[in-house]
Amino acid sequence: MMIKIEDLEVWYDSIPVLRDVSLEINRGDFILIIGPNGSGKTTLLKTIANLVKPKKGAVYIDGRELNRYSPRSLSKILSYIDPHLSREMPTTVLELLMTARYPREDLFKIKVDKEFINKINEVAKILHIEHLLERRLDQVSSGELQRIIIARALLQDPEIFLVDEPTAFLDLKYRFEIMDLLKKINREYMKTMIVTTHDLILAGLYGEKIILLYKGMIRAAGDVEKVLKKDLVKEVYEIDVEEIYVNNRKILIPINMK
Amino acid sequence: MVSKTTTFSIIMLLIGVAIGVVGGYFAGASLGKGSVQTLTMPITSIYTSYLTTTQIQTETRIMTSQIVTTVLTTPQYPKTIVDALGREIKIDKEPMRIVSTMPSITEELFALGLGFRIVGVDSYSNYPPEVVNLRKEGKIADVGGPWTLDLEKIISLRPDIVFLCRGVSVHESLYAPKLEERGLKTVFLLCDSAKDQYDVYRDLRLIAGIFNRDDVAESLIKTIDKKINDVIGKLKTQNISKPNVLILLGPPSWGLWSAGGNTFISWLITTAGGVNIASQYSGWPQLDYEYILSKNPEIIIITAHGINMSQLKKELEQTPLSRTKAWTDGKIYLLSGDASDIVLRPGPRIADALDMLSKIIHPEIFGELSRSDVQKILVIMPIILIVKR
Amino acid sequence: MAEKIYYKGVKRFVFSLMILMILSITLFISSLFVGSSSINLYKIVHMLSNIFLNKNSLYNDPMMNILDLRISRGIAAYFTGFALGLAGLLIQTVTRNPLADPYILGLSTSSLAFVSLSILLFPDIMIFRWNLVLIAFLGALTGFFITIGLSKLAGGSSVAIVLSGIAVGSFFGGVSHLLLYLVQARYNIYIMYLLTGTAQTVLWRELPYLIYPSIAGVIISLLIYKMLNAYLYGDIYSRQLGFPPGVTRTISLVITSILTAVTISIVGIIGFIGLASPHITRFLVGNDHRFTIVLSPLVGGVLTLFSDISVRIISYAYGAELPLGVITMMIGSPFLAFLIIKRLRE
Repeated sequence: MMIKIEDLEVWYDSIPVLRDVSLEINRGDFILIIGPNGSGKTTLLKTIANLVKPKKGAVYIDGRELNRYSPRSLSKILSYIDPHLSREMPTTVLELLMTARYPREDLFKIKVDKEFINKINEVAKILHIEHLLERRLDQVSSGELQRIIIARALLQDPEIFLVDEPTAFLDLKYRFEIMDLLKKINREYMKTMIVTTHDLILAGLYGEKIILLYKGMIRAAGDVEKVLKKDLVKEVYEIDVEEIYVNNRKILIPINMK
Repeated sequence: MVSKTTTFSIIMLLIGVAIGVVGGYFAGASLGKGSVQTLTMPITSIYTSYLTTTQIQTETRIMTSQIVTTVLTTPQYPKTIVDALGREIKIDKEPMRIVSTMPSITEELFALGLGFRIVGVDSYSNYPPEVVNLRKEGKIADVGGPWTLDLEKIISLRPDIVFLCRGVSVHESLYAPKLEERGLKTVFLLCDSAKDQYDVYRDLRLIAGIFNRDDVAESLIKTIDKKINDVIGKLKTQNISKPNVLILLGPPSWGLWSAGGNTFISWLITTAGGVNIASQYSGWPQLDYEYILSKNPEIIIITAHGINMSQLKKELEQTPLSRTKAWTDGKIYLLSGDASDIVLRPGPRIADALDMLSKIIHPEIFGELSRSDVQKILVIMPIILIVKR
Repeated sequence: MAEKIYYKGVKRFVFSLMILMILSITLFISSLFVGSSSINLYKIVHMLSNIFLNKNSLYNDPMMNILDLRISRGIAAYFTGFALGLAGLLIQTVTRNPLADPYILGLSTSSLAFVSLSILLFPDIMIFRWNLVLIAFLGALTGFFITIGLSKLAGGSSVAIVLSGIAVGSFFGGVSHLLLYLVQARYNIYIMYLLTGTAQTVLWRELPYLIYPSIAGVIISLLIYKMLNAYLYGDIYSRQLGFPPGVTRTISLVITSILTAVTISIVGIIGFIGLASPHITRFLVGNDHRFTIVLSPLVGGVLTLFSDISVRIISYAYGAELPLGVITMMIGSPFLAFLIIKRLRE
């Protein structure tokens, strides 16, 4: 499952959001996309997921352009984890999780396999949401919701996970838990992970391949050493940082406090 | 497992049916005894026409008939008639059981001597007065309001013919198709769509033709027509001025609804020697005070049920109607009860309606109208009057 | 843990299904007994065995005719609720709004406007019921298409649909008020009765147009239940699960509009059923469309048939036939108030 992005240009109405984006992502990669708000991180993710159509350029998966894939076949390959799930209807967590099996199942099949229900148990255990299964979606906290939607993606079991700001609403403890989990999925199941985050510290701790987006363009791409540099960060985020090393990993600490 | 489910479902089904039967039976039984009618018995039908002149005269015609349980086949049946909707309707034999759905139709049926064959009337039918009694005694069934008929009731009466009205939307679109589907014969009359006396005669002739009573109709029409022509004649001989007349259907607070030039009431006003100030409109327009004041009616006629005069007077005082000549001359008339019915129903009493209106509009020719259900507004300007005398 | 919850849900569905089917049969049989005349059981049994004879003639026994009237009326009432139950469910899903009902697409007022206009131009048209039914149907669909067109201009989202529906509905509401006034003033024809809803005067030959589309609607909706389930969580969610939300919307709206238009033109405007049935259904079995698509029509049918029976009882007492649409709204308003309060409390 190789993703190739060539000269991508994406506009929203008459505003360019992504320009000149080209990159290659291999199977099993763990990619972190960072950048300030508005730099196009979410758009890039959505474009890869074929949720947004580019104005110029294209995304290729295994040599085939995205729009040559039917929505159904695409849903077997990738899953976009949307933090803004609609919760207007009074659905429960279990009902949401049950929909995860749709890409792999026949459209008209009405019966639910017992296997799948067992899988739900497993995944619910891993993500500590067993006690939430009967809860309504609008009655869970944002942190719980985050775990729930990741659980749903796990159940969908695609090859590529597109995770949009998974740590945004989580307590510190859960931030690490989620990132550990994503790393684990990536390693153990050889799933490609593409994660956006604005948390520089997590980027340092977990990043393998990092892409820094700035004003819709790739400012830098590479490993932690290459991308998490003081001057780059100053240019893009407009803050001063200090580089420190913890456990052999480079971490950037903002030091703008007067 | 499967057979268990099936047995269980069948048992539940039977329970459901049983509950339905029991529940329904009690629900239906509690509704009272609208049982299906048997054939009617002999009824004496009295048709009374009230003509008020300076001396009250009542002209009474009594017809007693007995229905025969065997149907006489005259050589004229089967016959085909054309009703008010232009439909050709085949009448196989003389209809014995009639349902009327509008008060004017009931009056016409009684006037033609067919009252004893009526098995059902609408709830507003009240003339001749015996209709009310017959309904109370259960000899005639109440089939609901003209706009809210109870089809089940009508069907249970096994009528040979159901009279409906042209121009009544629910009659045309809802009731007639359903009744026809159940095999009942429906005949449409002009009813309130009548524009003048000839339309009423048409309805009378249509009904009479169905029952081979053309001679009865003709003599009735002759009587009515003579009375009408008398009024017209009298008006012609005198060189009178035609006063502006405003007719309001209901007090001002109901909206200033009047009758346009192509309505029956307008014909009544014009024939009675007045000018309907709303005649330039068609249908049933809602007027405004400006228009009324610009026409300055000399006579205002208000038809309404259940309004009392002092209430109305108070209301009128507050409206611009108190600046009309009608108010100044004290020529505002409230028609309620029977008087209102007579004027608003194009039926066999149109001559009486014309008589009433002619007395209101030209009392100098026809005399003052004196009926309990016609009240003239009392405008108190005593000093001036006394002085004038 | 998950299996327990899941199978509990399935059991609730089966149980509710059975109860509703039994209720349907119970109510239908009761309805045969209720009316202004009294009929005995023997006649009913006799009648039911001859049920498909002679749809267009007078039976010799008037009781048979009355029974025939009650059967056609009961079927009309039931399947009106059936159609509206499904339509209401679909519109609530499509707009992701549990307070939506099928009439928010602007269908009811546009239908009324078209009927009033046609009567204004051709007053004789009232004689031809079939034409009026057709015009009411086309009028409803016209309102629907204008709403959809407007919503597409506004982006095509579920919010756009709701707002467009309100705009179109209000516009035609105003127009129809004006036209109704004109018809009343010109011809003294009061046609509100035509559209306030009654099951009493539905003809047998109109019933198939009510029944077949409803059943077809249920079957088609069941086939796309996955699309509907996925759609609940958002356009993005639906798409990344492999279901373009526009397709879901189109299919659902087509079904909703046809079913609603059919009920408006044949029976009239019956309020509340389209709103309440999905609510009650969700209360019974949750949100999985596998279950709700089957149950919501049944709930609607039961509610409407029950209302029709009430209408017969009330009309008997009152002396005049009251419109079905009015009774459903009267029963419904307290329920709706309760729902709104409950929802806002949370």
